Amino acid sequence: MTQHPRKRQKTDTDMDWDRAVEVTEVPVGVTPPIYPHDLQATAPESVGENLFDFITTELISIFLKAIAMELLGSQGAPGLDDDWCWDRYSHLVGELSGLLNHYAFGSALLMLGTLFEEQSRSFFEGAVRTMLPPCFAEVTQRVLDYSLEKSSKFGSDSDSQQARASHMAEVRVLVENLKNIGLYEEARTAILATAKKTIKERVEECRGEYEERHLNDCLEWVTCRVSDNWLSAIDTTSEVDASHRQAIPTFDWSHVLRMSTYQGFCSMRISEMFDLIRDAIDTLPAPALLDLKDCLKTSVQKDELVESLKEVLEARILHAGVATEDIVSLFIATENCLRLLDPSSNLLLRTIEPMKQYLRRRPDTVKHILTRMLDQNSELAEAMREPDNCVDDEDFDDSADWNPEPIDAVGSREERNVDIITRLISVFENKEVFVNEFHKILLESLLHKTGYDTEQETMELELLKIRFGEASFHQCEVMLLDMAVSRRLHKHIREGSLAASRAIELEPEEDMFHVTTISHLFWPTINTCEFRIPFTNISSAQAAYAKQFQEQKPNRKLKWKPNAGLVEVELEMGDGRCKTYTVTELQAAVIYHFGAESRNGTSSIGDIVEDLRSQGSASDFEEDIRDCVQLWIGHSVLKEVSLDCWEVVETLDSDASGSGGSTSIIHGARKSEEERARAKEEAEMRAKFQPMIVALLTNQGAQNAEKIQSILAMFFQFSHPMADLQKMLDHMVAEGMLALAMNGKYSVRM
Amino acid sequence: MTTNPAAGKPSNQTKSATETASVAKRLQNELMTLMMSGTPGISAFPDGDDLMNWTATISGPEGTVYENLKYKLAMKFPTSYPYNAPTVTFKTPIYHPNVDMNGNICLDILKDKWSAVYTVQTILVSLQSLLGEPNNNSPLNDEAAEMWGNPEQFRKQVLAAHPGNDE
Repeated sequence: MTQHPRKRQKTDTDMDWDRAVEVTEVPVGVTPPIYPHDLQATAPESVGENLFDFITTELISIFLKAIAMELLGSQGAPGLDDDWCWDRYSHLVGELSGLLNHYAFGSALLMLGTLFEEQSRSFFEGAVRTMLPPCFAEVTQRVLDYSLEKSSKFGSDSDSQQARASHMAEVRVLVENLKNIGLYEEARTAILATAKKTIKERVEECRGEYEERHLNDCLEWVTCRVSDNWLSAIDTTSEVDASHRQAIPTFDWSHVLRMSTYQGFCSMRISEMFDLIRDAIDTLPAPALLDLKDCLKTSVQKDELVESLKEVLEARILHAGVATEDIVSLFIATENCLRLLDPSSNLLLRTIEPMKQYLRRRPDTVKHILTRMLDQNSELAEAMREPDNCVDDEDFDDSADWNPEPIDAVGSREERNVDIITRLISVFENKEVFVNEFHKILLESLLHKTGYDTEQETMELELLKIRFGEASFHQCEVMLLDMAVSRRLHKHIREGSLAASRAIELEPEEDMFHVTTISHLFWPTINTCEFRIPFTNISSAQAAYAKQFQEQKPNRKLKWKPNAGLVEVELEMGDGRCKTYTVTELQAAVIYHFGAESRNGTSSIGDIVEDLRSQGSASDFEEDIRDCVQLWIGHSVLKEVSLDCWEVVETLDSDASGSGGSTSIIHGARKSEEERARAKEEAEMRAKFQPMIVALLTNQGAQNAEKIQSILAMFFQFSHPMADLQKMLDHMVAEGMLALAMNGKYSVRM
Repeated sequence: MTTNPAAGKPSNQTKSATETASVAKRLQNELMTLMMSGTPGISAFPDGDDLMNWTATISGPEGTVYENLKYKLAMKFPTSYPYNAPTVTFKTPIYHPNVDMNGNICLDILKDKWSAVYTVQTILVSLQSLLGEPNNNSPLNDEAAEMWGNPEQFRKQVLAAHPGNDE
């Protein structure tokens, strides 16, 4: 029965309190302070239940004052500074504490027993807790923040030290008072929150600072500033423990603060992990990473790292707007960073998979990876020189620094121990793509050589052999061998021509004419473009070479590959500009065409095509010529005077300057060639299958695309996807060869 | 549909199986060559997935009475091909001295002058030239042979016999 009215009473007071909050703003200043003496004066008259009621009411009144202050404070009313809050708060808590003391003392006197004092204290604490406003923690923290800040501001002179001592005494009294009224837990939470906030601020100062290690500085700072300077002065847990009636679990503040520092530091570094990785492209920010490694102790934090890194990588680099080259750079940097953080590479494997998947989708990934592997200045150069010395599992188990598998291990130990090169290779399912790509790269570099020196290429090949095995590079070896043979042949033929006393005629040409004889079966397909070589001295030198070759190797046939080589062109313009360009054969021929005297420096597309076309020229020869002209326009050597008609720029305007080096020329030309190669491939497919489709439809009547595909597959091993066939059919319809009926059947137009 | 006399013999079934395979290979090659050569005015393609039966189309040569007309033919290859000639018949009705009303053709290379070096392509080219230069000495269609000397009238007959180019 007694429980019920109590409960009701509690609700009543809560409601009172709510109402009071709304109205108290005005009376704060004027509410007369209630002194424990008043309480004492009235207490003896109403012992028992009445007393409790009375005290409860008084408590409410006092707390209302605190709340009112807090409300005003948190609303940031002008004129209410932290100093004032501090005073007010200390005062109120002091009063509460005093109230409790008096109350307990009074009760003890009345009841004549210490046992009752215990009970009354319990009651009091209960009452305080029940009516504790929700914002109490916030206020307390704010007050403590202020105190911590203040404590760190005192100077070292005697006056300041005195002031500091007095402030610390105040703080200690406040904490003691809080403890006394049973709010030790709340006080502790607030102290911890204050300490964490300060730690966070300190840790944030280290953001973006990667050159040095900061973790220990932070730890020291926290120990000195928070633990020693402030916390030790206010928290006297150990002393109280002995005397206090309640067994308060020992609380190791220094340990807690240390852990908080680690945690705060770790979160801060994780949040800037992407920046760290980006920095690692140039130099590995080892100090920052080692700090993070020291902090990264729990699997929760590791998960946080993996997830946050995955997210940021996905958002910032794994999309179409980022160049493959940069993604590869970041891939390597990520590997290096995470390797340092976690030598077992577990973190790495968990993070890097999306990048691998994404890279696999890009068409030029292989090229970039391979170029980087072969680049002597790249970060991979050293790793390339030695084979992957993956630690053997069994040996590893025996060694002294054996570690158990991580609890969240991903992949096998071997998989985790591979080095960066193997990891890059593992982006693709098979190594063959790299071998093929190198084959192509080798082709480029050998064709663009003005000489027969293959030292660089041989070295690259040897490097790759370490990783990919000897057998894969058979074709490349033949290519290098071809170069050596070409060198011998060149020397031989030149000597031969010298002996034939044609030396005077041929000698000047020797310097400008190098032939590379290739065994075409072992070389990738070379894109050629048939055209008439306008330089008579070159064509005569070619003929001479062919004749000599025939004599040297009677059982072999020499077939020229036009436009596969490079030409060095020196242009001297009317205004005295003189520049050397390295360009493709056709590009050289085009500019030579403009240089011919009869043309007066002006020519139209028709003239050029007519001049340079030879029997074997492809149907898109005009396109090729246009590309070449564009190149020279880019170099301010030509300009368009009217549609499809160009003129040599003999005098350069001062503001229009030539741009681009010779490397970019070739690059641009190759790129468009690549595109054209694709178009050519499509055209070839059309040329091959078009007559079959026509024959099929002519003789067997209209068919739909599916049927056409199955028949082509049956008789002609047609293995292209449906989309390709559809494209081809659409093309034929567009060209008027086929008609498409409403029922989806194609037929031949009669 | 007439039965193939070679395939019908039950005595040497295994032999005919290997023969069929080699015939298929030969026909496959011929089909490929025909496609690649792209000879104008002639084309052929197997019926469905059956390599032994083809349909061919030839256009009438320019300057002849068959100009601008297309004729379809059925080609039936024996399992002994290419040692025996294929059976070739006109599917499109044609008014021609050496072709009867059922489309049977009288051409020496398809009969006694057959040789294994002939291919689908040569047969079709021969047939195409037969249109312009009939052998009026051994006609299957006497009326046509007689009328050959009168191109205008002949052309009328040709057009009357031809069903038109609509499929």
